[in-house]
Amino acid sequence: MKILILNSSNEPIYQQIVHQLKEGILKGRLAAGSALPSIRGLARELHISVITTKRAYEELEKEGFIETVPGKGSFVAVQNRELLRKKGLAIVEEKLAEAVSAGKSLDISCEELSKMLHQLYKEV
Amino acid sequence: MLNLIIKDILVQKKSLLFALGYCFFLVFVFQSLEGVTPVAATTAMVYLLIQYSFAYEDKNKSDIMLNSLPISRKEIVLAKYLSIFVYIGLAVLAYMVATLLVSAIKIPIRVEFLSLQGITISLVLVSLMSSIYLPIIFRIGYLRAKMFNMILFLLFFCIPMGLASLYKNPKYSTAIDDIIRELSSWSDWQIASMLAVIALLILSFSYSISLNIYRNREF
Amino acid sequence: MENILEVKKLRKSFKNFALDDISFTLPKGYIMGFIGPNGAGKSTTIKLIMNLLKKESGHINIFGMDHIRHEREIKNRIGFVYDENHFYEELTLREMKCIIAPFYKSWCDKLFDKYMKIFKLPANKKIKELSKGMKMKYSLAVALSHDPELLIMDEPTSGLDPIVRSELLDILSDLIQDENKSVFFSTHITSDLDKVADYVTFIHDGSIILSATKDDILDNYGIVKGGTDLLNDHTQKAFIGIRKNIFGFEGLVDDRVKARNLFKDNIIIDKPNLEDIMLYTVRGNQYAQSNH
Repeated sequence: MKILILNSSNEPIYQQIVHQLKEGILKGRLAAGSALPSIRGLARELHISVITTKRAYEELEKEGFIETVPGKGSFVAVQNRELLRKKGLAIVEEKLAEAVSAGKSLDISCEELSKMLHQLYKEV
Repeated sequence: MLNLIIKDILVQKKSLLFALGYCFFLVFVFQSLEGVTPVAATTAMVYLLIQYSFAYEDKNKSDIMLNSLPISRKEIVLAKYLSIFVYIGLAVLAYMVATLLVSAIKIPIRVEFLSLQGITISLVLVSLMSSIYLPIIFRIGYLRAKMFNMILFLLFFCIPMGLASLYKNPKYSTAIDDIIRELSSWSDWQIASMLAVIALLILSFSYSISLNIYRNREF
Repeated sequence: MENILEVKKLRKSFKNFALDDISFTLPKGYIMGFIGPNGAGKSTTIKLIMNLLKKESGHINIFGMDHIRHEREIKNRIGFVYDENHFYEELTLREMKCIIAPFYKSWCDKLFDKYMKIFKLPANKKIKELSKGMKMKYSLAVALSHDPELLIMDEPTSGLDPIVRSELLDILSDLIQDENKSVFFSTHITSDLDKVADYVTFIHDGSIILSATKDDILDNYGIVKGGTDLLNDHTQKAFIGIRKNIFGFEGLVDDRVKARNLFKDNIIIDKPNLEDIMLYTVRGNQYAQSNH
């Protein structure tokens, strides 16, 4: 597993952790049931505050990606990957809808929008 | 507590050797003064050791460290008072070693061995001196207390002289004669134990003053 | 959450300086950095906590107990490191250890030997022969060998090179792997805290300016940059400190969202670090006044 923290990023550090772990889980790199580093261990490794890692784990727990067993540690939630994927899809759909409505308010055509989408897909 | 006393001695390892050398020196210098050498030598040595123990404390600002450890301030003060007796023991030992050595290798100087009487007198002198000196150090610190040394020394010379001049006055001389006559009827150990009790009383009074001062000190 | 250290309305005055009703709390299991410029009252606060100075009023609770009534028990569970060496310089490291060890109920020689080894400290050398960094490491070895629950340090990193400082910070994060342990340390080198601190308490001129989790502070504070035409008596109030130059201004705000609402898209907002927050706060009024 790889977690890379960018201090200069505008995204808060805890969100960077959340995103990277989520990605790992969604792409199947982190198998369901596998153990995650402890909150304190992760903080030490990344040279960041325990509070930051704690917040990241809490966030992931709230969204159902991981489970924390008191005294044992945190694990990737045993969940249907399809379900997680669906959850992810819902988020993508929501964001796209936002983009579409923003586009509509500027009178951007569907074609133009999909062109932009193609372009962005290549770049990001 | 014992640790605090051991620490005072450990820190002064070097000064102990110096004190021994000082002892030889005094034996040599005071050889013409009858009856004074043992008392003067042991008292001076104890005085030096007390001075040094506070000097090291001051140099390292160790009070800050000691008071951050789980030690009560009472123990710190008490250790300083108890170590006086350890110093007396060391001084007596050093003096005995010095005199025995001088006589064993037959250096042509007159040596005076330490008697029980001598030990008692230095015990009383040391107690009196420390009783005045220690509260001053605890109050104003070692460096500034050094200035009081002169005054303290003068006092020690002035008091006997004052008593002597008092004796010249016929008004008091009969009273003093009476006291001396009364005391001379006492046995040696009676006088010694009376002096020891007085010394201890003064010391414990001094200890309570020092403790009060040290309890309120800030670092 | 259980608090390991609670300071409430602590007050102490000297001839020309006073700690004014300072309060903060450190929960168990975290590292709190205590920052402020020299002379702000950091050492005074630590000395009051250790009862080296007598407080005038207020409460200090450590492990939930009054710090004077239970002084001995508390000190048995505290490790301390100060910015200067207060050990007897004439003694060897081993001799000094032998004097200190018996004072602690839970002193562990094995632990001490372990730290001596990790820090590469020579047991038979005299303390005065050590470098400043070695002295600090020795202090730390002594402080940790009775397995304290709270480590209190006053400017442990001052005068140390960046490598030793980074080693120290690693040791601290190792220490709080045990969630029952906490660290409280003062420093004026804020970059030490950017990494390891969980909580930051900022003292200035004897008053606590802020005490919060580092994440909250860094997420909310912002450095706002814009043209000087945006500034007027009303908008200027939003800033803790402002610095103006001929091209525009830079100012520190404690609420980025509010600043965005106030100035809309006319400004850019940068992420501050703890040093920025300290500098703007300390010099804040000067900047504002000199430019009025």
